Amino acid sequence: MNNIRKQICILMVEDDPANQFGTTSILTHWGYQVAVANNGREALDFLAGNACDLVLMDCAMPVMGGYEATAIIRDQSSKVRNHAVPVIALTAHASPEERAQGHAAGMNEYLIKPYLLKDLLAAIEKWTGH
Amino acid sequence: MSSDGKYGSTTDELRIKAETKVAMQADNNSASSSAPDAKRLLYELQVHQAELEMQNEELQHIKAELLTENALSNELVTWLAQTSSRTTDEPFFNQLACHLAESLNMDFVCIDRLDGDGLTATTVAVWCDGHFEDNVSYALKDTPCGDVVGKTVCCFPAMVCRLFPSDQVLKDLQAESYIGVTLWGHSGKPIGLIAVISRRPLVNRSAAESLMKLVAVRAAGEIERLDAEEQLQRAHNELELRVRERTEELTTALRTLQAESAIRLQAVEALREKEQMLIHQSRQAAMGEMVGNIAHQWRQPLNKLGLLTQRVALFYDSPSFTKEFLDTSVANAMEIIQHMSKTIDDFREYYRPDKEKEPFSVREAIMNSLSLLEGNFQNPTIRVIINDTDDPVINGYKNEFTQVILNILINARDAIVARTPDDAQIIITLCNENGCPAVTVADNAGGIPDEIITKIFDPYFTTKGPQAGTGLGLFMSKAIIEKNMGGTLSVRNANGGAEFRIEMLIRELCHE
Repeated sequence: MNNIRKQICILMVEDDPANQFGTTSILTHWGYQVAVANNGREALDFLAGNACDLVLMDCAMPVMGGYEATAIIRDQSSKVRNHAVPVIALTAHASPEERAQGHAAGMNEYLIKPYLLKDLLAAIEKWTGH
Repeated sequence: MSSDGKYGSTTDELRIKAETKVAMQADNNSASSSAPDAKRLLYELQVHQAELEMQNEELQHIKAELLTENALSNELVTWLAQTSSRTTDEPFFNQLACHLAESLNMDFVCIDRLDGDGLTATTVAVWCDGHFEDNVSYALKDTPCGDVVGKTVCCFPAMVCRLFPSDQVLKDLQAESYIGVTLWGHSGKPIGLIAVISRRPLVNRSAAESLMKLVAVRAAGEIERLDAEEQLQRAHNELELRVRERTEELTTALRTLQAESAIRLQAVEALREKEQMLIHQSRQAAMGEMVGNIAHQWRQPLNKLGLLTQRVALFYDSPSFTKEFLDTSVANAMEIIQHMSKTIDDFREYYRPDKEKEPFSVREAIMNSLSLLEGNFQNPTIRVIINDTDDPVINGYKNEFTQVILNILINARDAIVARTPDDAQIIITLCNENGCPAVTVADNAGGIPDEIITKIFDPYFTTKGPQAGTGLGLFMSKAIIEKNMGGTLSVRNANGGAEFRIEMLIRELCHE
């Protein structure tokens, strides 16, 4: 299983260094390959140049937030390689309006902070198959 | 020796008396045998000697009388000179009347003050046969006194009763002689008179008159002095009365004022309570706006905590799970917990109503506001720059001040969210200007449109719509700064944005 997961690349879009470190260490522990972007703009740049199997997207970030970045990923005219890459939102915004906003932008799954690791793992496995 | 008989016997009488005396002496002595011429000469000499002796005797007698009279006058003059106006034992005029009667050997003395119309007089002292009588007023008409007024001195040496037949007082006294003097005021008007009456004819008229004139000057002065004193006393009494009245008025006014100010104080107190309530409500409104943010703000650290804890369990079996791993995880977790705890304190502190004014650091209040807004400046990212050249201290309500800064910052944030300027920033400047603290909060969100800049401090004025704004934030902020803390809160557009300015005007509040 670990060998298969080594082939799977997850892009984590997150502006908080502590969260970056914590999540990266966990994802690595689980055996996934992890790339980090500090905001939506950096995420788009990464997705334009690299293959990616899943995006963990924070919503409130400087420069470009998660909703805007996701909308651009889904936009067929953007430079992103895979417009259909699964996007899992990790957000502190819990209201139904925001959840609707996430869906409208094209997010596949919505995890509310603080989330359980087993829910995160379940979501990753669901959308990568591994 | 004069022979006109002014003193004692005439020359002829004296000759007869002297001859009688010499004859008696001759009978006793044996007749001389001298020559008739010599006898004659001797006789003449003897008679002349007798004459001289008798004249001498008479002169001695007159001299004694004069000396007595003179002594009495002298005594009066001395008394006049020595009696100060302040003699208290007996009234001056009583003493004067008594002395006058004695000095002039008169039976009746009255000292009068002329009344306003000049037709009547009122006595100030009446001395009659060795005792004082009650003072009276009487008409001057048909009395010798009526004749006196206007003349310096007026004398009727004998038979005064016949001259003034309708004067009952003269009749009752069986008066014979009368001297009166006018008492002249300093302005030259007659103000009173002194009359002395005797049942005997007046013997030494000129001496009596000159004494009366002398006394008149002093008595007039005394009357005027008494008048002045009385006037002074009256003025003094009137003044005292007015002072008493005024004091009473003032006391009443003071009581009224005290009562009024007590009522006013109560009203102010009630107002302050109401205002406190409003301030608290608007504070809650501002908080309500932030509650969503608080939820968001807390999910971030909670999530970090969640990750840290779950990682410990997750990594337990892995080789990377070391003592150091555990310590780091715990330390990180505790740091987050401390931070969250402080946030709670900040909010609780902010919610506490200010009871009393106390000195606080402006910088600290601003830091509190920023801490409460933590997270609100992340999406979109707003740079907050603090220029603090000074750390002023204000004596006032700290939480209310924090609330003001919070309101202004939320407004700036909302303006930035609405206008999305490039490189959004809020610059907070705090300094002491002329010893008074001043704080400016400036954003770069384009400024406040001219048509609403004059309304933004009005109550219930909001541009944010009913869900977002209560319209009370800036209104209450102005009330807090200006009414509660004696400062000013103003706004202007500057450097591509709105600039709010707080100035604490009251110097004594500035530095403790």
